[in-house]
Amino acid sequence: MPSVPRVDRLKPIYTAAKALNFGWRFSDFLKIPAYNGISRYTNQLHRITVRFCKQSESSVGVRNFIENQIVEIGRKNPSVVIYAQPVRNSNPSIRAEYGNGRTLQINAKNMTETEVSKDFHLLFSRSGEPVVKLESRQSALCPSVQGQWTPITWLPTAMNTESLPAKQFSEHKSTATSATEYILQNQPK
Amino acid sequence: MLSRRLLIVSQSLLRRSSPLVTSSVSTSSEAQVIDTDRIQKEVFKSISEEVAENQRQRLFAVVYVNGRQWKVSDGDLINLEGNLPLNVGDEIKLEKVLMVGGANFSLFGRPLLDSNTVSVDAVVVEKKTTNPELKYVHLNHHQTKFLNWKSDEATVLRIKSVTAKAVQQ
Amino acid sequence: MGNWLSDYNSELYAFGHRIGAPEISENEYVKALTNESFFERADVEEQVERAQPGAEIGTEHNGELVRKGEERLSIWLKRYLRFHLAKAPEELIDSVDSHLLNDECLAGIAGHLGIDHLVRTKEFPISQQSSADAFRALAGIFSDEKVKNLVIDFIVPQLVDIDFADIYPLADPLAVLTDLLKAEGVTEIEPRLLRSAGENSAEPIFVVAIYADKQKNVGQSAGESVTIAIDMAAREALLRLWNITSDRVLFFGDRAASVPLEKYSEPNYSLTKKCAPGTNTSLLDESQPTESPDNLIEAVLRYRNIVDAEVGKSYTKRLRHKFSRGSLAKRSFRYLVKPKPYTVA
Repeated sequence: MPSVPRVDRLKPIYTAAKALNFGWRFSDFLKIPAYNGISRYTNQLHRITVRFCKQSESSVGVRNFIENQIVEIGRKNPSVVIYAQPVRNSNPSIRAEYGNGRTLQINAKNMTETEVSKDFHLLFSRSGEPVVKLESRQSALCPSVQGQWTPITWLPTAMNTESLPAKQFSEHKSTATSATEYILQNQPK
Repeated sequence: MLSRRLLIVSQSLLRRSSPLVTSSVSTSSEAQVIDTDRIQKEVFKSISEEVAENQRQRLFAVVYVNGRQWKVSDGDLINLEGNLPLNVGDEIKLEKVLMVGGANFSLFGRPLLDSNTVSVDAVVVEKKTTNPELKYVHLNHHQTKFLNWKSDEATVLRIKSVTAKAVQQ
Repeated sequence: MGNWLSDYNSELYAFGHRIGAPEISENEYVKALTNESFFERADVEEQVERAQPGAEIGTEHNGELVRKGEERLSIWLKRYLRFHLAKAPEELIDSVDSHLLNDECLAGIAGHLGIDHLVRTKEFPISQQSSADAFRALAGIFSDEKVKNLVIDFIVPQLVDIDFADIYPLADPLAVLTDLLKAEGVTEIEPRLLRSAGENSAEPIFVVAIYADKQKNVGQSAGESVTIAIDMAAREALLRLWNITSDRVLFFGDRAASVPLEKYSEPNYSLTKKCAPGTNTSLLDESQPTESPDNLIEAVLRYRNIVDAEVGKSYTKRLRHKFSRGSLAKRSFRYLVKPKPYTVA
C-alpha cells in the first residue's frame, strides 16, 4: 500500500502544534489542575466577562440573561467575579478565565436566554483544562496497591544460578494427571 | 521497586470456596470439605483487626458506577459519561462496592459489600463537554453526506478516600 | 485575548471567598498583596490618578507579613509531617518542608488561586518570588486556625507527587541504615544480590536486597549496576524503617483537620545524633555531574567492541541494504509525491 497521502497543510506548524503541550494538544490523560478535590474543592473559574452590544439583535439573549439571571448566579458563586461589558457593534461573547491561566471564549451571537444560561453554567463547572480526547477514563496517583507484576516477581530462585537450557525448566506442564502421579498421590493402603 | 507481600492468612483461606491445593506439580485430587463457617470467621477477624489497627492503610476498591466497574483508590480521577444530577463540589459516597483490597488482603462481595463496611467517598470536581467526535455514515462509492460533530457531556469525580471498618459476617 | 477590565474591590471580595476567608477585611488583603517595589513605580510615585486600584487603601507593604507567614506555614506543615512521618528523623521533615514551601511550589499554588492578578508590584510579569511572598503574607494575616486550613487545603496535596527517596538523598544510605539497625539490636547487615539480567547489555538490571541477621529482608530494590542497586535498596530500607511506604496514605481535608496536630510541635529525633559519629549523614551533592565525557566515549566504544561482538546485530540491520526499498518519495505513488523544486543558479 502506498504511503499516507500528503495533504497540503502548513506542515511545520501542524507538527509543532501536535507536539506542544498547550491549547492544541489532541489527546491527553485525564487531568485536573492544582490537585483540586484531594483536600478541598475550589472552583477553578476566577472571572467571567459577558461582552454584548446594547443595540443589535444578536445580543438580545445575552441582554435578557444579564437582566434576569446574572445577579442570582453572582450571589450563589461569591468566589467568581462577573463582568458585563457593553461593546458597540460587537458579537456578543462570554469569556472565562481559569486558575491555570487559560481563557475560554464562547460566541453568544443569536443565542436565546436559555442557551446563554446553559453555556454560562457550563463555564462555571469546567476546570479550565483544554478539551482533549482522553487516552483513558481514569487516572490514578498510586499505580498498584498489592504490587505490580514484573517478570522477576515470581521467578523461582533456582533459575538464578542455572544456565539455560535446563531440563527442569524445559518440562511441559499440564493439568492432566499422569499415571505415575496418580499412583504417587493415591497410594494403595 | 519490588515489594514483598506478606500474607497474613494462607492462600487457601483467602478464597471463600473450598480450597484447591495448588503446587507447581499438577494434581487433581478430590475437593476437601472444610468447616466453612469457622474459617470465614477467622478470615474476617484477621482482616478486621488489620483494618482497625492501621487506619492509614492504602485500600483500593472496585466500584460499580454508571454501568462500569472502576478500580479506585485514594486520589484517583474518574471520568463518567453524561450530565449527572450533581453540582460541582458535591461530596458523594459510592455505594456499590464489589471488592475492597489492601496490601495484605482482598475482600470480595457477593456481589456487593455492605456499605457500612467500606466507604468510598468522592467529590465532583468538574462537569465538562468531551472532545467532539465525528459521527457519519459512509457508503462505498458515495459521498459522505451527513457529518455530525458530536460532543458528549462528562462528569469528573475525584475519589477522596477508600476506608474500611470492622468486617461483620 | 486578555481581560483588561478588572474591578479591584470585586476581585478581592471574590478572592477572599475562594481562599476560604471572606471575613478578613479588604485593607488587610491589600496590605498582604502589596510588594515593596510597588511604591517605586513611576505612576504610583507621581500619584497618577487611578494608577493602580487600591492605591488609596493601602500605604504599607507586606515585608513583615511575609516573614511572619513563612514561619507559621512552616510550623503547621511540620506538625502535619511529624504526625504522618512519626518515625522519620527531623532532617527529612526539614527537607520536605523546605521543598514544599520553596518559591517555585508556592508560586504555583498562588497562580492557581489567582494571586498573580491581585499582587500590587512594579515588576511585570510578576516574579516567582513576589508571588510566593504574597502567599506567605496571606498566612501572616490569617488566624492560626485559618493558616492550618491553608496548609491542609493547598500545600499538603503537593505531597502526593513527592518521591521521599529523592527528597532526602543520603550520600551513604547503607552506613546510616547499619547504624540505625544496630541501635535496634541487629548484629549483621548485608546486601545480597537476588537477581540479575542483561549484564552486558545496554540495560542491565541487578536486584539487591538488604538482609538483617541473615534472616529478614529489610529493603529491596533494583539498579543498573550493583553499587547503584545497593544504594537504592538501602534507601528503600530506610524508608521502610521510617514507615514511609506507598501503601500508607496521608490524611487530607476533613480527616486531617480532625487530627490534633498541635501535639506534634516537638521535633523528631535527629539523624546525626542517633547515628555513630563517623557515619556520613550528608546529602548527595547534585551540583557536580557524576559522569565525565571520557566515560561516555568509553561506554560507547565498549558497547561497539565488546557487547556488539557478543550480542551481534539483528538480521535486518546487518542486511540493511537488502531490506531497504528506498525513501518515502521512492516508495509512494508518483501522483502523491509533491515534486521538490531545485534552484538552478
